[in-house]
Amino acid sequence: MTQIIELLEKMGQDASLQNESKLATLIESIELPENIERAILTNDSEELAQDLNTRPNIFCGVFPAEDDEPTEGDDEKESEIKFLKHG
Amino acid sequence: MSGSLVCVGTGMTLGAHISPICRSYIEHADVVFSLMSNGVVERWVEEMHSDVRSLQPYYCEGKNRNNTYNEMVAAILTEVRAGKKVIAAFYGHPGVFACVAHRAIAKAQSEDFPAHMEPGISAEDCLFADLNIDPGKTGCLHFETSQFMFFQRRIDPAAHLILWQVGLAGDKSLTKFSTGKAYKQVLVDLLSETYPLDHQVILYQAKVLPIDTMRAEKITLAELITADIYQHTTLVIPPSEKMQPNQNIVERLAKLDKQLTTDKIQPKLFLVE
Repeated sequence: MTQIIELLEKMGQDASLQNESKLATLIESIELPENIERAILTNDSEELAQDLNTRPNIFCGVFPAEDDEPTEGDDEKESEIKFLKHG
Repeated sequence: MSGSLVCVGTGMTLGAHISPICRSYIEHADVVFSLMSNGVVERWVEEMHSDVRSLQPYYCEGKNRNNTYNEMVAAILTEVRAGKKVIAAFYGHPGVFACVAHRAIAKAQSEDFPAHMEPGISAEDCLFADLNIDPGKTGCLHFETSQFMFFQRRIDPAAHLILWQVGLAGDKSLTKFSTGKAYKQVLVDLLSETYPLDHQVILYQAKVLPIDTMRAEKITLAELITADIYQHTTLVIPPSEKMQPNQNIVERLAKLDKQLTTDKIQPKLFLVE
């Protein structure tokens, strides 16, 4: 596992590995399972995720259309209410 | 031992985008929470530290995402309050179209814990590079798609309009993981008030794994209804009109320029006794 992740990280960091033949040479030099090697060389990220047995259902979206957190305006309203209560 | 929180971004592409400071924070943490957009990327972060806890299990279709985000914040804060050096790692930029880091930092600071954010390379950054768009050229408006639909916003057809989370367009309940054609139709109807239906738009997806290919699919606005749209797809609408000069302001500025030039040319006069 570590070796595969290390390879992917290196591919992301090394400009020379953006060249297909250099990438193939590097992959040949390390012993990877055949299915992983094929997934990387054919750019098949779905196959790679399956082979690595990663979390299957990933949700990406970290922003609500309507925030339930109080906005600045709400804070002002709240402090006005508190002021009225104490005033 | 006093707890602390740093929210870091890992960038969009595995290995390519993480900054040295973000990586260092992850490696030297007591506990790391991670929210990644891909299982392989999640595994990559897990290999940086022995105690990485994914926030993904908090998501659940049918559950209000505001509750999900608040539960994520609560999990992070529990460890901060326990005196741990906590790092929360998010894909892309932790604070761009991402509420959890902002909420967690605000909560930690309100309880007097040191907390701050370290930026990451966002999907927006990748979009500008991949699509060769300079947001300064004609201006650029960004909205979360559903928010853009729920509220009355002013579109400037001379600027780029970028709609994020278009796969969730119109989900008022915040419980869905995707919305269907009928919701996209409402979005297209709204956009067609400003843009012609044959206006060319772009469906964009940044590269997540180094083996991925960036998506920049050009379609017409009308085709948006039937297009393949995923959670991580962004809709880019290029300008449909040219910028119109603001004649009134231009004339006022010209008068000011003229006045300044006249003041410079005329020598200052002094009374000589």
